Amino acid sequence: MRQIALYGKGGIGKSTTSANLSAAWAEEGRDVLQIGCDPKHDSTRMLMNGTVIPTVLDLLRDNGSAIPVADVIYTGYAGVRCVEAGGPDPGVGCAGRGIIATFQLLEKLGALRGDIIVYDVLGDVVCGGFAMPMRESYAEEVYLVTSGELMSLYAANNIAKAVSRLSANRRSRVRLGGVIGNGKNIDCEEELVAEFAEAIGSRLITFIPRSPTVQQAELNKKTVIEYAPASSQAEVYRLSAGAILGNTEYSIPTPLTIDELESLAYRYLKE
Amino acid sequence: MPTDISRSEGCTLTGVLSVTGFLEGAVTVIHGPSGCTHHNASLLHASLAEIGDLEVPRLVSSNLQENEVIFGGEAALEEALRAADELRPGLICVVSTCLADTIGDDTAALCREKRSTPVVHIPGAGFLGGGFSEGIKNALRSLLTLSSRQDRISRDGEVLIVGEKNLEYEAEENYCEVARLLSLLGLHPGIRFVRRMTASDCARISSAPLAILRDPGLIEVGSDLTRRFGTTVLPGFPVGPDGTLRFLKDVGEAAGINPLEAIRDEEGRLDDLYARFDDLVGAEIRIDSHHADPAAVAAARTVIRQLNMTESETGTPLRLPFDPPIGTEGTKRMLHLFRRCLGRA
Repeated sequence: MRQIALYGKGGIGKSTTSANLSAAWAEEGRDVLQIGCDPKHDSTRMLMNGTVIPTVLDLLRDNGSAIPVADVIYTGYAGVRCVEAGGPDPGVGCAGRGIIATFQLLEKLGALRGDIIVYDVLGDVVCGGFAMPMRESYAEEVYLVTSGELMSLYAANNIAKAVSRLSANRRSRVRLGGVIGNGKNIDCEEELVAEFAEAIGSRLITFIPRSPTVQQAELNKKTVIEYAPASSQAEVYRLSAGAILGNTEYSIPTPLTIDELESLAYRYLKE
Repeated sequence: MPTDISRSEGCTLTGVLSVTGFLEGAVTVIHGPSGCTHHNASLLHASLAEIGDLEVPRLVSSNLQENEVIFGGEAALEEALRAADELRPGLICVVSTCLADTIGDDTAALCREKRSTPVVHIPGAGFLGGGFSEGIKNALRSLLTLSSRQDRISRDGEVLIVGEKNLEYEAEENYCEVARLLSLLGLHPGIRFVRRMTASDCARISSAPLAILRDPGLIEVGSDLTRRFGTTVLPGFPVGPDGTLRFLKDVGEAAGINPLEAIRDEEGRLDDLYARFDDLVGAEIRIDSHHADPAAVAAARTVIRQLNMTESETGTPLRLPFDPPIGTEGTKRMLHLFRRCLGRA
């Protein structure tokens, strides 16, 4: 079983990428479980044709821990099993602890199984709860999703710090699998993201260019794989899914200082 | 740079409870996991039993569990406030714990809401470095908000006693000694803030023009008293013979009373005391000042000089009292302790 976590800045396109990767893997006949770990709980929406599924934390809040597995896991496109952790209202409680409670419940229900588990995790929040997929070896391969924008690179670099710190524990199996570039139409963006990946001791595993097909698919409440299966963008996602599945190179990253990160971005901005 | 969060002096919450637990008619709501309440109730029970008091203060826990940690504990606090209110208290003290602060509950805002019973919020989380003493200060400073200058009813000769060590073995003896010394100046203790005072008396804190702090560590509470109510504050109970005479002088001056006669009386009382312990004169002794309170060491050295005792490496070791001796009576108890040490040698 491959346990893959996609981390990145909020709004960078982690959910879109995760959902399309899951769809691509599922089309190949793999048993895929996608877990959305963002309190805004929209990770699996496109796999569910726009339906926002109930979150584990809402169910926990209303029913305690006596929840049947059918209430937690919903089957989406091509049989992808979908879970949303959810979270508290903004400004109250501890969303990180909510992630931990979700994983504990899924484990208790025997739901953490399949060929591939995809954890779609917010990267702006760097508390222990959000690092839980890495820390407790739920996720063994971490992929950083970033564009060429500085704030996005900053979040990716922060996650690289977490991977570096957590992998120092001898029990830990977490490693960085690579960087996924999610293009925002910035000049030389792929080169910038590739250089960032190398600078932290990793590599660019795939670069997904910006495409209007993604927005069209989302407006139709579908993944690109489902909405436009013959499109070039669907092909990009399939190739990305293959690249990740075929990846055997993992590293412990060496995160950049903020000065190094800024000068890297600044150099590309000037060019 | 590591932060000093030494727990050697105990939990902030315990410090708060050592104050609010002695407020008669009040209920304390501990906003946190039930473990915080259980641990402190056990601790208070053991400490109070040690000093002959078997009554454990009324504590209510908001009983935060995983659900509240994830979704916030403010609803649980509301429920705890309702449960506390059913006990018909004169005041509800709400103490926030480390957990409530960590998850970001706005305990203070909830306490500010209008209710039939007055509610006061006291910060009790010590995870950023606070300890037992911080808890005492937080409690006293928060309770000051229940009084105002408008509530002021001046009572002649009344002195506010602030921050007695309620869990101390000799709290009552020390209070009686301070009351005796005040009486030499024609003054008397008013509200004991807070030891066995009623919740409704919180409104009267502003009344006394003069306040005496239990020890100088409470100086921030004293500053609040002065700023809020214009109270004149003396920074501590009298320690040892020198401190006792200085206390009479300082209180007299603060209250506009000539202290000379009171000082002469007390000097005579001290002479009588030394005479009663003349069997200790000339003894060869040794005191270990390493872990002792400096004020206790200074008081001990004063009586050692008065009784012509000599300090030497080979002298009989003298045990110092755990807390510095308060007034002449405290000095007397210290001399009894010395006599027991020398008697055993």
